[in-house]
Amino acid sequence: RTRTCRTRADWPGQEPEVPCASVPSGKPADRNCVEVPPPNGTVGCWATAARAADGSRVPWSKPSVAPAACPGDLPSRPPPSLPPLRAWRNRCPWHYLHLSDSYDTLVPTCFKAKLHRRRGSPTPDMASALTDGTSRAMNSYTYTSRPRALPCQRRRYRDSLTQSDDEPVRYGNIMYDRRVIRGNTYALQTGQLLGQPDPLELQRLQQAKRRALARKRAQEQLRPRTPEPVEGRKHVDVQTELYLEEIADRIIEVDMECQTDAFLDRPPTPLFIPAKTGKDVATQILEGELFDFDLEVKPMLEVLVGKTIEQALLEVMEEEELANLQTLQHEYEEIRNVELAEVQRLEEQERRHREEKERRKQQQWEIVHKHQETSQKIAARAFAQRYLADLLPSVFSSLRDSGYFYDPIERDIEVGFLPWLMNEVEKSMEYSMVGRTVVDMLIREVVERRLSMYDVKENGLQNLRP
Amino acid sequence: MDATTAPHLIPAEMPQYGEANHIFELMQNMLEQLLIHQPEEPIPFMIKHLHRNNDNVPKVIILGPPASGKTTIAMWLCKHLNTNLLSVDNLIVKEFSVLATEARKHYQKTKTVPSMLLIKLMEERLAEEDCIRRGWILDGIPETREQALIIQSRGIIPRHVVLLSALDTVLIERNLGKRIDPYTGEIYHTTFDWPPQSEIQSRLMVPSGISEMETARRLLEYHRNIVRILPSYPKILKVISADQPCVDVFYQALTYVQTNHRSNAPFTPRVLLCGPLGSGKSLQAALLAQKYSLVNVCCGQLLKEAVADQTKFGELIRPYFEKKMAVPDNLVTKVLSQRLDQQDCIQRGWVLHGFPRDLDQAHLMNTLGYSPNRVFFLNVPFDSIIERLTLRRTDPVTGERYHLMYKPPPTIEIQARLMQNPKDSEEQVRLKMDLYYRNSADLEQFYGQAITLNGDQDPYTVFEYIESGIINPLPQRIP
Repeated sequence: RTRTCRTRADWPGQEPEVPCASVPSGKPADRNCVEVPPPNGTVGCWATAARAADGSRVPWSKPSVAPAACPGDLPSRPPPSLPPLRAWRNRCPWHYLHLSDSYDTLVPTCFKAKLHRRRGSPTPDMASALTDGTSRAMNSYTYTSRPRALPCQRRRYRDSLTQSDDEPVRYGNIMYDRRVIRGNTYALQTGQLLGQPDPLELQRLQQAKRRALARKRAQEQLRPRTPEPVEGRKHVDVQTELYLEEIADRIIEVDMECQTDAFLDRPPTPLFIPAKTGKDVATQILEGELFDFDLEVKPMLEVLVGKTIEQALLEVMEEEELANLQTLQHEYEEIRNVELAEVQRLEEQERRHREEKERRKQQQWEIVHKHQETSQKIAARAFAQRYLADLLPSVFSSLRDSGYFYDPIERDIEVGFLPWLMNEVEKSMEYSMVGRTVVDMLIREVVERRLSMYDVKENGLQNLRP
Repeated sequence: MDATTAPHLIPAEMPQYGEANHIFELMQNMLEQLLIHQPEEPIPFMIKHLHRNNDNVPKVIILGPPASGKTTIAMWLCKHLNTNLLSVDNLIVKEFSVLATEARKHYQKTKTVPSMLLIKLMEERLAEEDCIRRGWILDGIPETREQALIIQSRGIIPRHVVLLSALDTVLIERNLGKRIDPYTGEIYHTTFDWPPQSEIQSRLMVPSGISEMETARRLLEYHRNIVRILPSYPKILKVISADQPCVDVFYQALTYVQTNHRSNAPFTPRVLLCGPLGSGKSLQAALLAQKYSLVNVCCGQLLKEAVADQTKFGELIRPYFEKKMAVPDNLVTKVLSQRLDQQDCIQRGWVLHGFPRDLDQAHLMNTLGYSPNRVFFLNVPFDSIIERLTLRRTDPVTGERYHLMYKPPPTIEIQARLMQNPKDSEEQVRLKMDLYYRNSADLEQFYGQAITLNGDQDPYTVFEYIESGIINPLPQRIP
């Protein structure tokens, strides 16, 4: 992020540069580091009163700075143009100076940023405020984000799409990330960035080099060399100069050092005592000229003493009052205690009375209850006795009626005697019946015989008669 | 606990409780059983007896000549009373019984079962659970005096004995039409009891032994025996003529079986007489009070007495009398309860008439605890009432009261000077009658066990009816 600082509009000095004014019109989408001169007054750092360069008109040159790759910036952002010369001239020890009318989107990174405030402009606490303003002013897309650690992909090939859920995310150290550009970013290979043609050029260059090498080798082979030694001889290298040189592998090294003088402490800055300006004037007041102390002091004294005494009186009165209150309170407490004690005593008495009453009532109730129960029991017994007085006789009479209780003699007569009697009667009747039957038979027979005899006789007589 | 400090009175709830729960009969039955069985441990026996609670189950003997319809009546009674039928036939066919097999053998040989065996068989059957719980009906047992005596001495005591009687000629003729359904065993008759369903009709068969000679012989046997059985059950016997349609016979038998016999329980009658004006309530109440020394409580009389005595109730009642308005219920009940709480009422019982005139008063009386144990409704037709009341006259000179129809004045001159009470005029009577008829239905429903009588008869006849109503136990309804 580029550093920006809010500029105060009413610095003395500077007129806005003309070319600056034309900038915003040309790049409406640009918002970072836009140099729009303040409508009134000059620009400069308020804190140090560092002024923008006055009088020096530096022609606008395309800065050789390249903007940092701000994430989220529009890719088609035209390169910002800064008035670096102006900035270099009156350099605020804390900030870079920027002519900026519009709100910058970036959060000021130094703590003193709040000093740099446009008059009337809000504190740039949040970038969003700026963005709002910017977008309001420029109607452009803005994006900001908080710095975040970037994860790195250790593996070359991802195993699964959901790898990030299982394992902890490995964050890479951006210090060792090859993609992050180190060092100055304004002096990088521009050729690369320009695009496609460069790699082709490289390739061509490489090819050219290879051809050159090849040619060189070919040439070396064609180069005349010393002929080979004759048989039995050997070529030896010999030095033919005047002064012989020792050829050894070992390189002769010599250590040399040099040292500047030790640092001396910077002496303290001498106290800056500005030169005296102005005129010295003196005066002298003599006694009695101004006022009479005794006279003047009187009212003051009166007031003082009076107030003091008054205060003292008040305090004393307060104390007395407090003392009175205390005594009253004491009295009251005593009376209250006495009364409380009395009340408690009465309550105790009352409670005892009540309990006694309850107990007596309970006792009485029990007695009455017992009375009642006893009388009920007696009544029940008497009633039962009277009610069932007739029970036994009625039981016996009913049993007698149903025949369970029978007169044993009667029963005996009935069961034992009468059947026998009937039997005997039957027998005797049978006898008489039998007798009669026999007599009947006898009579019949006699009569039959008689009849038959008469018949015979009749027959005989009849036979005799004729 | 001295009788002088606090009088010992038997609270009135106790006799009411005893009466309501038939305590006397309960104890009597229990004691009878105790005496009959004489167990070694009387108390568990008594507990078991009380648990059984079968004092009111039917125990009936049905006797009668052959062809009188005994079996039919017995079966119908069984179904109606939900009880068990025992007869010689179904005792013999019992399974799982040594005695039954023996009896069967005998029966096959001689067509009779020896008495002792039969009685033992019967006892075995009666000891079973269902007979104990639901009661029994004996059909045709005992057949002879011997059997009757054995039954009695064993302690099997019936509560009702029903004797069906009819002329022999009728019976002989009837027997010829007897048919039996072989499946159910029910007896039908070609003329008197023909089954409506045709399939039963088709399968009916003629039983054996229904010829005239056979029937006559059996009748002879029956007459010989029955004369000697009947004296064994003098008090519980009822003779029903079998010469009527069997439904009539059945209903007579059912009514009889459901009545209880009079018991010796002490009973204080608390009688309520209800009826319209002029039905004779006061007369009957007076007769009852005289004969049974009950206390005659006439509500109207009570109120008049209270006013006349100038008691505090009387003071309250007097304005209503003066204005000829009905006295409010709470006052009346207060006066009434005062009278009914007195000792002579509690001891001797009471006859109340003229009080609950409508349902609210009846409820009130109930909640106060004076519930009557006999309620009588005297029904008199409207014309009779008019006749009775409008012809009442009084002689102002002698004070004698005459009735132009029932007690006419002896001489003409007395008749000339007779005067009628304005309350006896027809309109007044009509008003009062309307009032009564409006409330009578509610009252009749409230007193469920009330006895309704015809009050249009001679007062002494009505009195006899009331007497029998009081003395006989209330008919019990078998669930």
